[in-house]
Amino acid sequence: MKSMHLFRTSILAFGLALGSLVGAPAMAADKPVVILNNAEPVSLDPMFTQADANVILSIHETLFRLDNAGEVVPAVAESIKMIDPLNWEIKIRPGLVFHNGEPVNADAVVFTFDRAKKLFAAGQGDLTFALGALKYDHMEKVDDLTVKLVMTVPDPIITSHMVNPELSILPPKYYSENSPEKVAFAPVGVGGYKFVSYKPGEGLVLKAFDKYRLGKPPVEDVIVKAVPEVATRISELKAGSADLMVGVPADLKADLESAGANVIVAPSYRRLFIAIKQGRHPALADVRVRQAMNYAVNCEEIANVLLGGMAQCSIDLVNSPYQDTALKPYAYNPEKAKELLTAAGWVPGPDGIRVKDGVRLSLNFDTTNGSYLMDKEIAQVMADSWKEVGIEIADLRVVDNAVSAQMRAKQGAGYRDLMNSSSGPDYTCQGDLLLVAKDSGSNRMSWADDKFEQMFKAFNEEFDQAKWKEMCNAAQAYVAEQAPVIWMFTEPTFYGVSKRLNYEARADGRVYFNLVLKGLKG
Amino acid sequence: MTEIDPTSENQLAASSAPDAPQPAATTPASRSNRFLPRLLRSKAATISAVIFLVVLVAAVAAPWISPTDPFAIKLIQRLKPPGYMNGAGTTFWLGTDALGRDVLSRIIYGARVSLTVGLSAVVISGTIGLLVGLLSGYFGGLIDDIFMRICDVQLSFPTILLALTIMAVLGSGLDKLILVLGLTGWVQYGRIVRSQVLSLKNDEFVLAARATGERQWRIIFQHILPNIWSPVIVIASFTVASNIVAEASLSFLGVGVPPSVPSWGTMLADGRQYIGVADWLTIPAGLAISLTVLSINILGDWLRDYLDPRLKNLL
Repeated sequence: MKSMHLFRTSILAFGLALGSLVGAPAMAADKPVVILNNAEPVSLDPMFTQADANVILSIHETLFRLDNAGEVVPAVAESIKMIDPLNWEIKIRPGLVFHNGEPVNADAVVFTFDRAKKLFAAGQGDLTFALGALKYDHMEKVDDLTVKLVMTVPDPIITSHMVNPELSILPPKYYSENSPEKVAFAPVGVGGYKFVSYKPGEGLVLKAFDKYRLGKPPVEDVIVKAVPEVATRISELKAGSADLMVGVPADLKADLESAGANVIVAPSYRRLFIAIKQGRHPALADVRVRQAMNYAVNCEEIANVLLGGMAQCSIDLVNSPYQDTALKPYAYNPEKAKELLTAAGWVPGPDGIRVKDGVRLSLNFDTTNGSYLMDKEIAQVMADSWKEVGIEIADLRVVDNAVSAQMRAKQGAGYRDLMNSSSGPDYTCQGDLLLVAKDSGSNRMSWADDKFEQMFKAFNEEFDQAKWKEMCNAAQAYVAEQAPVIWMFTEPTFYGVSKRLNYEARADGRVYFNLVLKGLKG
Repeated sequence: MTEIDPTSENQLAASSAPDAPQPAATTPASRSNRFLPRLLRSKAATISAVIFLVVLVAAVAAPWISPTDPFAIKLIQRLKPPGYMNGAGTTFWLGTDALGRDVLSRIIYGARVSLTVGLSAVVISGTIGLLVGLLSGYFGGLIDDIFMRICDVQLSFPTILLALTIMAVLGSGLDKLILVLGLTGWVQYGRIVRSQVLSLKNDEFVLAARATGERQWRIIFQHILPNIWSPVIVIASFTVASNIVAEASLSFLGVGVPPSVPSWGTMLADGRQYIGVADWLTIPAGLAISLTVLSINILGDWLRDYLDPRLKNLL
């Protein structure tokens, strides 16, 4: 009996020792930095995903990109010069090479822009957003390090459209000699990290690229793992088996800090809203119904109570500094919401849900869980608020984070009536307004408004910057009134960071590894 | 004229054994008279019955006994600790969740969801399995082959994985959940019933019925069926428990009931990330699942023994 006890104790001790050995490497300074994402990548081919910008722009580079402060700076490009409003000359930075050794030159840039055009024409890839923003006819080679971009329309903010990860510069030999299936998950770029391996469930392994244009990134090895559940991501960070996660719920900041991790709260330029899909439920075409839905939601309470006062409700169509802060968000007013619904002909039915011509004001809401701060919870709060004024959410469905990105793609073809969504920074008013432009890939509502289109066209063709502020404000005021979305707020970003990692948050909340991972302590 | 199985003599001999099935209607009255005293003789079964009764009453009387509306979101009251902990007494006795909803009310309503799913799915799977087993066992041949191959195919899929896949396609919802669990859980009924029918179909009373020219459906439903209720009831009791766990699992994984519907599985999932700061979100839901499932399983065990004629004098 005693020997059995000893045997058990020994096994337990061995197990504990083994466990500590297994756990220990996570904290060692020379071990890979483990970053937890909320979903597996849709693709690592930049032209086939909008959802994986953080990873894509860690492996790849675009002609221009945004630095950590949010300024558009040359990347693969060295300079740009307008020849006339439709023709631009771009000089390519000399001496750059791709991860596989191919040179970065005019041929690579022309190949990239041609590939995007061809894929888009064939209905392949996820290029609606990028090519909806940058309306070019073609790119042509001038000399080995010079290209000419020929536009179809004048565009005064051309460089800000070239930061989109979909237009990452690709090595022509590798991408033309290998099948789309192979390159989809074995990318070759010119960015700070080169691809090593990827296995779903195990992670994406990256290694610092010593010939990166800004110098070799200070963190040598990075592993990106998909952990959809916020709770699991937090557990991993607390256990020391991960170094970085985004989206720590405000409630758990203190808990995570007490467990030995740092929580960095930083502003971001990610503007959250609830997209209202056009073309499914007839009520949503009526501006009064959309306004009523905005009035029925108590955004202030969500921001102050659910998010701990970390967000401020606004008409978040455009980012700072172009956002018109004088524009007041819809104040919580359920009575006004009821009036608007009644005026639109939607009157309460026997069960309190409004009806018109035999049609119930019954909608479906697709929400993510963990893609945005408290997204699932906010969706439930909103559903509850709308019920108060007679709008029913018949089916509130939680969708997988990776699936949700595909549902929002192609102008929101995949979701039903409502879906939480966001718009990232373009650092220009024109770029941000693409959110509601008829032909834009970032218009996930399929919303189209003739008056706005006229305003937007005039704004896009205006090269006199002195007029931009006034035009931007006019567009914001008009779209705010039309309420194509449920306006919310710019999301603060809560990063959970292990003690050993030096991290620098970007102004836009993006996590480009080569720019935000500043090294390991000790 | 109905053919008599050539092996019927052996079967007839077997049926004269003391524990051989008897034509129905000889025992129910006396058995029901013995039910409660025998139940009270087992402490575990009695405690389980009390727990199950409490859950049942909670489910049925939820609208009347629930302290507050379980759907009512009050953000200002979010994450309040249980009333017994902070001196607030019966106000939010089990605390509030991340959206300010009363945990106790949601636990009570959660019983309704769990039992609705558990019992309704059993009715569906039991009915399908019973019919498949009766027809397959009685007629044999091609019908038996077809049904049993379908059983084999279904058994080759892990039930929860199959349910997960179907729910992911259909979307969440109580009705869909019941349907999915009902349609994926019939196989064990089918198999057991088939084996029972195979052993009964050549028994004396069945042969006698055949000999008198009774129609086959009357033989199946009036003579064989009453004699196979015992194993069916026992399986049903265990399946209720497994359905409750399946509902909680699917809801935990986010494909069960919609997030606003109070379900023990959803409560566990929602409370998981707060386990370090608000354990009252998970502990009551976890306990509710464990106690309910445990009580049903113990009751099922007791029921199996109670319905087993060989153990009738031991209980």
